This record gives sequence, C-alpha cells and structure tokens, in this order.
Amino acid sequence: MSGVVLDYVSKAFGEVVVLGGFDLTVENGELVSLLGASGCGKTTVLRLVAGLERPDAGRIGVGGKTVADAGTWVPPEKRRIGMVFQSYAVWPHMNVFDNVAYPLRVAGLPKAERAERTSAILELVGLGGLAKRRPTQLSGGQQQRVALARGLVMEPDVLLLDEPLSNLDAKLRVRMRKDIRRIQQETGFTAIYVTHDQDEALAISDRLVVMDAGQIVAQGTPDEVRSHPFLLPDDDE
Amino acid sequence: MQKGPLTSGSAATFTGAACVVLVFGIVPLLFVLLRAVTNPGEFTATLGNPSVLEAATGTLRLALYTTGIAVVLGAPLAWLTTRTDVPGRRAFSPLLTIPYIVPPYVAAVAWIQLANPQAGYLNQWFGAGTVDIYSMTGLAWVLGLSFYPYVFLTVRSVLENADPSLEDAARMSGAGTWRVLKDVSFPLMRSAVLSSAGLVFMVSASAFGAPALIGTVANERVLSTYIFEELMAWGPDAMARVAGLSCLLFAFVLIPLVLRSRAHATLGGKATRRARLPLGAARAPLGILLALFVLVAIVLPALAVIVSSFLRVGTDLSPSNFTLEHFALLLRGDTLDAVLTSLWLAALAATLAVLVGGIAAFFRTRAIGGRVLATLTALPLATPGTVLAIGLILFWAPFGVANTIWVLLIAYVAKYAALAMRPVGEGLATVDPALPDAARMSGARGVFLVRTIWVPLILPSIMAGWFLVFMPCFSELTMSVLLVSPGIETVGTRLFELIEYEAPAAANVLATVVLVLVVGSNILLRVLSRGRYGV
Repeated sequence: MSGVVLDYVSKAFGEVVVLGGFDLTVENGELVSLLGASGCGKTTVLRLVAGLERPDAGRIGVGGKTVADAGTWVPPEKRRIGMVFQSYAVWPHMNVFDNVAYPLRVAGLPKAERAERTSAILELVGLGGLAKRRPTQLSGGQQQRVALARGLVMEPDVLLLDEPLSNLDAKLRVRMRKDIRRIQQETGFTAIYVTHDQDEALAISDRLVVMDAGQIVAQGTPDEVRSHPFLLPDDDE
Repeated sequence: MQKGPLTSGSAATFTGAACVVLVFGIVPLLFVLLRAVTNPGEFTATLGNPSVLEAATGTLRLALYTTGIAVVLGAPLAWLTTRTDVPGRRAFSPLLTIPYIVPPYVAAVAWIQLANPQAGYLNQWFGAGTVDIYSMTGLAWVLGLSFYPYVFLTVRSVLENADPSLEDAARMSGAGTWRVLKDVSFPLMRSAVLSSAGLVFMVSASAFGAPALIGTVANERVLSTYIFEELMAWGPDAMARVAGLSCLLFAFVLIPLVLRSRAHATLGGKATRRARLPLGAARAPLGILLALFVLVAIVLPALAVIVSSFLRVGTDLSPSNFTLEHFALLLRGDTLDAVLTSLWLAALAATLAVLVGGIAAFFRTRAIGGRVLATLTALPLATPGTVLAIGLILFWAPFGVANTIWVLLIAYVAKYAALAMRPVGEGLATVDPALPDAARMSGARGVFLVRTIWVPLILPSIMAGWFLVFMPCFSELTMSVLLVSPGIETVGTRLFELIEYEAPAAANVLATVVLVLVVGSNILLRVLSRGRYGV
C-alpha cells in the first residue's frame, strides 16, 4: 500500500501552469524531500496533497484511498493528514497545550485522553515543561516544535512539512532536522518534506526528488545523490 | 487568493448574507425607483410645483455651502496640525475630530441655544440680533461644523503618509516655504480634498435632522424635509410623489460620484519623523486662531447643550432657573422608554450588522460574486436615509412589518452593515492564511473553525465594527422619524418630538445623553482597538 500517490496531476493559477501532468509516489513510511528553487511547484504539490488546493486534473491518493480526482473530493479536514507550515501557524490566542490538543478537541476525544496524548507528544518533541506558555513567550525553535507536535498528535499516516526549518538559525536547523528524523523513524509516518536546502534534504530523507518548472528532473537516495552531485540544482543560496 | 466552488455550508452562509442585503436594502431601493417610474404623471406634476423646485434648490444650496465651509475649515486645520509647529496642536487634535461622531441634530440643538435670534447665549452676550441660526447660512454653518472632520481626517491621513522627501526635494531645489506649499503640498492634498468634499456634499444633501430643526423655522426647505412633511401631511396617498422626490434626492447624492476625478495621488515612501514647518512670526496668531476655533466649534456647543439641560426654561442663566427636573425625565415614561428602545435596538442592529458585514467581508475575495455582495452591502450607506426609509415602507408594508419596531432594525442593519464590513475586512486581511489552514488540517471546519480560530484572531476588529454601527444607530433620526409607528419612540424621534412640539428645554437632556454616550463609546472603541478605529 502506498503512502501518497499523485497520478498525472495538473494545477494552474489563472494563466500560470504550475504543474502539468505531475507523477509522484511516496511509499508507506518513507520520507521524501521535494527540493527545488522557489516557484518550482514543490509547495503546490504539498498543498494539493493536503487538500488546500484542488487539482485541475489527475488523481491524488492517500493511504490507498482516492482523495481527489475528477469525481472525488475529500476536503482537507477529512483527510487525516498532519501538516507543519513554514510560518509555524501556531495560534496566538491559545497556549501551547491548547494548540497541540486542538486536533483531538475537533475529533471529540474525552478530556482525560486529550490531556494524556497531548502530554505524551509534548514530551516527544521536547516541550515537556512548556504546556501553559503562550506562543508569544516561545522562541522560533519552540514554536516549530509546537507546530510539529500539533501535526503529529492525531498520529496521522502522512505528515507534510513545508520548509519547516527555513526560519530558524543554522545551528538550530541541524538539531531540529535530527529530531524530526528521529521522531519519524520512531513513529513510522509517511512524510513529504519540502525544502530548498540541499544539506537538509540529504540529511533527513529516504529519497530526494528534485523539481524544476513543475517537473521532476532527478531523484534518488541521499547516497545516490551524493555520488552524482550533478543531479542537484544549482544552489541559489 | 483563489476563488473556487464553496462548500455547501459556505454557500449557504454567503447566500444568507446576500438575501439579507437584498431584502433589507437593495430591493427596497429598487421599489422606490419602480414606484417613481410606474407613476410618471404624479412625479412630473410635482415638478411644476414651486415648493418642490424650492426644496431642490434648497438641497443644492445647502450641500454647496456646507461643502465650502467644511473644506475651508478642514483642509487648513489638517495642514496646520500635522505639518507646522503651531502651539496647542497636540492638545487640540483629539478635540477637532469629535464632531465626526456627534449627530448633526445634536449640533443643531446646541446652536439653537447659542444663536437663536431672541435668547441665544451669543445674542445675550453680544447684543440681540448679532447672529441668527434660523437662516440658510446658519444651517450650513451647523452642518459645516459637523462635517468638516470628513475633510480634516482625509487630508490629515494623506499628509501623515505622504513622503516628506517630496517637500524636501522641492526645498533643495531652491523653493522657499510658500513655493513648497504652492507647488508640492497643496497638489498633494488636492485629491484628498476633492474626494472628501464629495463625501461632505453627499452627507449634507442627505441630512435631515438639522434641516428639520433649523430650516423649517427659517422657512428654508430641502428635499429630505419636504419629503417628510409631504408624508406626514398626506400619508400613503403621497407615496408615488414621494418616491419620485426620493429619486431626485438620490440623484443629488450621485453628483459627486459622477464628478469624482479618476486621478489618484500616488504616495510613496513610509512616513518618517519629519521636521515641522516653523511658522515664525505667524506662530502665535495662528495658535490663537486654532484655540478660538476649538472654543467656538467644539467647547461652546457642548457647553450650551449640557448647561441648558440644567435650566428650567430657555437660556436664562440666573441661579433661580437652574434645576434637575429635566433629568427626572430620564427615569420615567416616554423618554426612558425611548432610551431603552434605542439601546437594545442599536445593540441588536450592531450584532446583526457585524454578522452580515463580516460575512460580506469574508467572501469578498473568496467567492465568485463576493465583490458584488460587498458593493451591494456598501450602497445603502451612500443612500440618503430618507430614500432608504421610503423604500422600506414600500417594500415591507405588504408583509405587515412596516408598522412594527422591526422595520427600524431592518433599516439600521441595511444602512450601517457597511461600517462593520470595513474593519472586519481589514482584520481578516492581516491573518496569516496558514492559521486557518492549520486548523483545517487538524480537522476543523464550518462553525467550529470560525468560532475557535477566525473569531478569536480578529476579535478587536469585530468589536470595532460593533461600536462603529452601535453609535450611529443609537442616535439615528432620519430613518427613524419616517419609520416609527405610534407608541414606539427612539432617542432620535423622542428628541425631535420634544423640541418640535413638547418641551424644548427637556430636549437638551436627551442631547446630553447622546453626547456622553457617543463620546464614551468612541473612547472605549479607541482603547479596545489600540487607536486603530474611532477618532
């Protein structure tokens, strides 16, 4: 059973065609990085899988079920996919606990179970003592951990990460990507990880997918890519 | 933002708001037009009537005079307080905007105390006959003092945001102070002055309260008061005629829209702290002039209303004439009922207006037809209250609603939903789209998503919108006098009744209540929105 399948998916915004017949398969439990310069369509792929955008054509499958094609549309709130946003998207009017527990509250879980699972996930991402803090009292790295915990608390089969570390400083980035990889291997979720940082992609992924102008131009495991560096795009950073 | 098909819940919400906007405001307005064109004979017959011609020219004269006064006062005051080192600018600036929120009929009550030809305070002090408020000039003076803040606020915001390097560049090119003013500053202000002058023309052509209280005594009729008198005298028989007159009044309001220049000033740069223009020898005289203006335009009228509310009769300031008896009115009978009715009606109208205006603001960029809905929501605000009220009578009478209190609620929501739409729209625009996206990815949707994410995120804007609607609804007069049925009174109609027929002295008490409430609400609004809304 595949984790995520995009089958000849097209998407245009007005006149601009971002994806034209895009194919991608992510295996169950695999962490795939989408690598490419800004505007190459990698974030659009992520938002299509999330259900935040609707494809113009093609089929999208998650966990063996079709979530979008010509006759099917499953809205994002019904897809049970976790997502971590570039801007963290931590809600400023809720404390850390309420942010992370929100998906459980939506699902209507009893209070005791909510508290238990939220505390467990906060421990996992290393925010054990900060449950009552307001987001404004957190550092960027801590906010990122809140966003990660919120994405994982429902134990989703798929987690989408949209340049999750790009707003952090270099040292913190290295630590965070190690933590994300560790948690992914412990819990075994399927992940699509969008980034424009090659080192990050090489360090964290099972497989790298290099995109340009809405097309896959190269892909391979980190080892394959390291031995064929010409596969990588020019680093524009 | 991508516009896509809406979910069924969103579509239902959008449709619901659209229906409210249509049946509360737009369709009633179309009924006025329909009634006028289906009875063309009735209307053309009135055009031969000299008093109709008199009312039409009255409206035109009043709007022109008022606009002139508002521009002559508003633009220099804005320039003086933002660009120069005139003394007292910081103390006076908040006072200068107060007339913006005080209903013009309260100003009319104040100026009747100050300048009625027999016993007005000013005529007592400076000799009888010095000033006479009961004239077209007096009426335009009262409206000019009520509406100059439109010009003042618009020009001030342009001057505060304009790139100061534009003026510095002129100075570096060798231009002296006067040349800089003439060649750079004035042209910068020009489009702000023109657009705000158009707005003043619209609101003064629509005005009813002050023209009814002052113009009627002065035998100066305008269309809004003429329509009111016709309807009071003839009732439903006058409807076709009145609908025609309403179209005429609406046409006056459209004049500035048609004339509005398409040129917009481009304002570059972020405002930086800039050196204020030193006034030199003119500093002291201009400071005295500014203080004098605040005294005459703001302090005296406010005092006139408040002090008069403690007087048994008239404007006699001798100690034996002071009394609290009029305040007892507030505790009993019709006046108390009117205050309570206005309070709950305004609160309910503000809540509904926030709902409708908020939905219109939300879907403006998100739904096909969203922009159309936003425009339709804004239209009744630009329509004279008199015209909207006639439309509501025409449309809602067959449903039996026109004789109930609910027609007032409909009128307030229709007219003022646009005031809530703006702050809510601005609030929505500041929200990072990832915040609601994250909630959807967490499984939230519909009412739950709105309640737990959207509303808390833009709560200050929602509260601002609520107060912006509550204030004008509480003191509304123009539509209320046409729409109230026997036995129902609001603050506006009660005050109108007191001053026209019953006890002019007691009217000051109500005017004081309105004054205190709107100024208080405005302060609350400024605190809640951290200075973003309110004046």
